Amino acid sequence: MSTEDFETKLRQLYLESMKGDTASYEIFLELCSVFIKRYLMKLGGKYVDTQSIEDLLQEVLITLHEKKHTYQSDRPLLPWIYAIARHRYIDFYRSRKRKPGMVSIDAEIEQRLSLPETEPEHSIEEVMAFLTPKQKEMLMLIKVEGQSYVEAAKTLSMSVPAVKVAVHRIVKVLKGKVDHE
Amino acid sequence: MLIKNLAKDLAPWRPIDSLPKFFLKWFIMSFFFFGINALWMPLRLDFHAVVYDSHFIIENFLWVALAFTSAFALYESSFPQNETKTYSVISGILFALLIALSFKNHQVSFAEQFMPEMSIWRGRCGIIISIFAILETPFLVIWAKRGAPRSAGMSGAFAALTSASVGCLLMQAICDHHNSLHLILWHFIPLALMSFAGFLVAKKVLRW
Repeated sequence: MSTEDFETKLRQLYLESMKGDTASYEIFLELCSVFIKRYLMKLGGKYVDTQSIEDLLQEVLITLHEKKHTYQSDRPLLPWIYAIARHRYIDFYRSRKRKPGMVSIDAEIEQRLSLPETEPEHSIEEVMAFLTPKQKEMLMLIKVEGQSYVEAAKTLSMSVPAVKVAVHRIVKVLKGKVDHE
Repeated sequence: MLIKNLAKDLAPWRPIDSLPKFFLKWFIMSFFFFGINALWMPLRLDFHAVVYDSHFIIENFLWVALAFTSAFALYESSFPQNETKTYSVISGILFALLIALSFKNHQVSFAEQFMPEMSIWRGRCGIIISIFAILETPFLVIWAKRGAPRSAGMSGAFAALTSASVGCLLMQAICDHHNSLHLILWHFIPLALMSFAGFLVAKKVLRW
């Protein structure tokens, strides 16, 4: 189907929808969703992930629905639809720039997977050097051997709350040392 | 799912006003505000003489052209697929022409006129133009809110420019201080400020 034919078909559906024809409107939106999605993917390129495109598409469809009366029937329909899609895309792009922390999970995972694997900056031996022998033993029992707090408390002849507090402090000290460096 | 819900929500709708209908609404509104102001503001003393003056006719023609261009720009900018650059350029040219004409036709010594121009009586022109813009612009912005402007700020600026231009046109018949300093201080600057205010307000109000 050529662009002209497609435009004519869409216009026809739109004009029927204007009179309240639900079925025509549903087909109109279905058809729109196909090429809007393609358009958004083209606009976003590789920087926008699939989930964001889906979200954007929904926003564009809602906007089309809310602003359906802004189409002038004597003018081409496709530029009007593209203009609305583009407006929503720019909004999305700006909001992402304003809140750089807000990245979709897909993008986050992809970014993490694409990171080169590097050696950790601190070896376990280096980190453990900050601890006293008793703290080392406590940490080994709980975090490496996987003992429960009750079992570790029995082994170390301590109360369970005391073990919990001690482990919490050890982790805090280690985190502080690693972050500081 | 969303498409089905949107289709369910469908009700017959009417497209946004046609250009003649928009202009008709704007004329009625402008005449109303024009009339209210004209009722309590006396005509300038030399009005009967100046009405045949070619400078006066050209200036009024330019004010009308500016008001029409910006109203047309406001209408066109309410549709998402329309650009407003051309209208901005035309409005800018008309505004520049009006400033140039004020210098050419009513040149005075700025140093001599500065102190007299600082009086409240002279400044009333700026106040009236601003009031005119403040009264009429909200109606135009409310009308534009039904649309989907590509640039909300520009639509607001055009709305304010439209109403302030009508205010300036009214002042042409009322104000008898027509030296260039007065025109710049109390006619052109209020108009530019109102347009800028319209730009800022509409950026928030006309978001869609």
